[in-house]
Amino acid sequence: MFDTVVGVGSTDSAPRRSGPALAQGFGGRDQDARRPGLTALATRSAPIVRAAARLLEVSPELAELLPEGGLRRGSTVAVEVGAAPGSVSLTLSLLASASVAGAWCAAVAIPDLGLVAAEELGVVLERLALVPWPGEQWSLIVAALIESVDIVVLRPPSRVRRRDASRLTARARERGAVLVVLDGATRTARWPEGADVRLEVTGSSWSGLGSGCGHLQGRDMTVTVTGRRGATRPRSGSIRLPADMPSSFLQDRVGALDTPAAQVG
Amino acid sequence: MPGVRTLVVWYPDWPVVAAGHPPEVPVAVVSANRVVACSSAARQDGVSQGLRRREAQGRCPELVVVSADPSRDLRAWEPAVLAVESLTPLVEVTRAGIVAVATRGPSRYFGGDRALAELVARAVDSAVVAAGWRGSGARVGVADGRFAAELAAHATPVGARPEDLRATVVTPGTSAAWLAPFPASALGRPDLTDLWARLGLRTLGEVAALDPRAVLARFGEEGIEAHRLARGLDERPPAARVPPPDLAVSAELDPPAERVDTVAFVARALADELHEELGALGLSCTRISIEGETDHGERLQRFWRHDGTLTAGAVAERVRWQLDEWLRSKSEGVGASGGLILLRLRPDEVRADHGRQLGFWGGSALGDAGVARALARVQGMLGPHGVVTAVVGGGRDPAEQVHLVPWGDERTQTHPLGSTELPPWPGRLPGLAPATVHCPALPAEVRDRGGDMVAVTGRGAISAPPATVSIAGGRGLEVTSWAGPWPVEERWWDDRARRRARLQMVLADGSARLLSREGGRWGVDATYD
Repeated sequence: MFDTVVGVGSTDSAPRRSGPALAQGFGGRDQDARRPGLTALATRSAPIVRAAARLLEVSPELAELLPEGGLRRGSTVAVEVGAAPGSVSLTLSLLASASVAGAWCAAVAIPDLGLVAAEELGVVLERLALVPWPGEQWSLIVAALIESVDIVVLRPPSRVRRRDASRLTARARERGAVLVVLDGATRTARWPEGADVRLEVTGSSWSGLGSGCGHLQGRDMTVTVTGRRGATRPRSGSIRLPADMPSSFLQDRVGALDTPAAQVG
Repeated sequence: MPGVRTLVVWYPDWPVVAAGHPPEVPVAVVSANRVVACSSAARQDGVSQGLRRREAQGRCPELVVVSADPSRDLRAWEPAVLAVESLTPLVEVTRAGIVAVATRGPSRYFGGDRALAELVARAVDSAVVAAGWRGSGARVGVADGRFAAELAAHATPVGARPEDLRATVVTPGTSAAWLAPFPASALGRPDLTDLWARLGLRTLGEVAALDPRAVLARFGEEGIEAHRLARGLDERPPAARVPPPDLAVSAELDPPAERVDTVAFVARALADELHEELGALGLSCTRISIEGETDHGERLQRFWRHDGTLTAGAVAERVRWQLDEWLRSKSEGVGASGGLILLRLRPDEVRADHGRQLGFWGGSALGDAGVARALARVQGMLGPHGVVTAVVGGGRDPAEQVHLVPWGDERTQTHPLGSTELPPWPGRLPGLAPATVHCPALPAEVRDRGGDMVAVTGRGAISAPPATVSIAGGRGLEVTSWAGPWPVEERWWDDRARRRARLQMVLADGSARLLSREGGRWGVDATYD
């Protein structure tokens, strides 16, 4: 904070102060000496995030995988409901960091969403609006939500018309919202449009559960991400949920867990 | 100078009435385990405000306990407010069950405080009856200042016959003297009045006799406010609820307009006029109704909404689009069949114009207000329960822990004050919460190595380790790891008793499930998706 104040407030004095030292290296011409100072100043006073490429924050693990290191406002993200389970948890963890940072989220047509899990994964429930049963007019409702809500999660409840899909994508782009589509939950409700980023859980393993002992404590998911425009090569990486639990800790804990009632009785 | 002459309508035990219970049934409305309101029948049995629920039930075993819902109370109270508003325009609603009106104008019009009080009481009673509620009837108090008027309403005795006038009118200028014998606790500031009681100040008259400067020096801002009330002055003047003025603008078209461009000029002028009118009132319009009439007597209407503020240009543009649609579809027999003779613009939703401050790096500073509007709009399409928000509370199963509240209603506080952690809840499942909760549970079959159905004994032990699971009649999947059972027995003392045992399993396809056995059947309660 203090840095910025000095840089912006003393436009004249900052380069001048560094003048003598730099003058020797650059052959003593005052103009040359000023240039690096001005560049530094320009970088300081530039917007932290350019308005065009505003990103919503995600957790560091997901940021490594996503082509732009975050959820770009105006983009459409598809989460493939694939062979391996975990798409819902992945979606919730996509929302978490942005939600904590103050973004508003909405979940449309997901009546069975586990809200305790959402809270556990870091989604702020005060800023999560749920429309569990949108009925036939779900695309109108999503369009209304995109107007102001930052992230809208949709699991299409019925067949998606191409026209509706492209209208929603365009609306999200125009309003700077992120549309997250849980794609392929039912055979008929495929998302006919392309998505800017497509995520798929390709592998999932659980820790904490033995045979008759322990309890589910954490999972490792392998997530494959495909992007657009120069990021079409799939990238995969491993994600641990919940994020704050190191894997070695889990391995150690399994043996030491209290035995459930079955083993006693 | 005495307080503003005020009339207060008070409906006794409004939360009980709004819950739909007649006064002769013993009912208590409970919030956070304390009684906040009770019916007169319950009061006769010794139930009073502030009592613990258990104690209230102990004093009156047949007590019906209803949980408090302030938004329900307010919704039910609205017809009564409208009834008062039909008599006099400046109505102030403090809370459900109480309405205040400044009486100077209305009393002169209706012929005195007493006549006005009678009219208001009857209007409220008939509105309440018409809305289908039943209670003991409204009481009215008229005095100088709101506080005195409210006390007067409370002090009004219940008439023996329903047609008796239930109003107390305190003569103008005598409110301070009228208040003097009341106990100081009537001020509703227990911290302050407890202290005053210990200092020997027991009635409002004794408090009022103190020197205001001394009260301010010793008891601060709160003290001086209470002291003003005790002297029959106003804490603050009643704020007024002004009905929105009629803002519609219209233009007649002669000869009838058949083409869009002829109307577009008129529309532009109308939009400018409307914009100026709204601007003069400091309002901005977020939803506008465009209305037209044709020479064949058809009436056309369409609403247009804008996320921000509709500027004059934006309104004119929308009118043009709308006219285009009406006049173009003439040949298809859906829009206007003749020429347009009247065009009217009516702002349907207005709000105070705060301006629209954009965030420094883009994004709207009024983001939350925008979200609220979008959600209200969805609620308009689906009803209030269409948009919900979740509150996580106590419970043993993932489904029980979540409480869904309609958007806009109060999110009930489930955590004890001052702590962010839930208290321990015995029988709660350990570990992660499932991301998908099936409601109702999916039917399942759990078999052991030998192919027999796995059972859980009455002592909570499992008959054999589970080997395969088939869900909803599907293919049998091998169990790779499992844990449990966690038995739970709930509410064995009443008819909502439930007994079940839960298991966590990871199946061969990599999915983790939460299964439970209840009444001899297996079900998948949730999936750790």
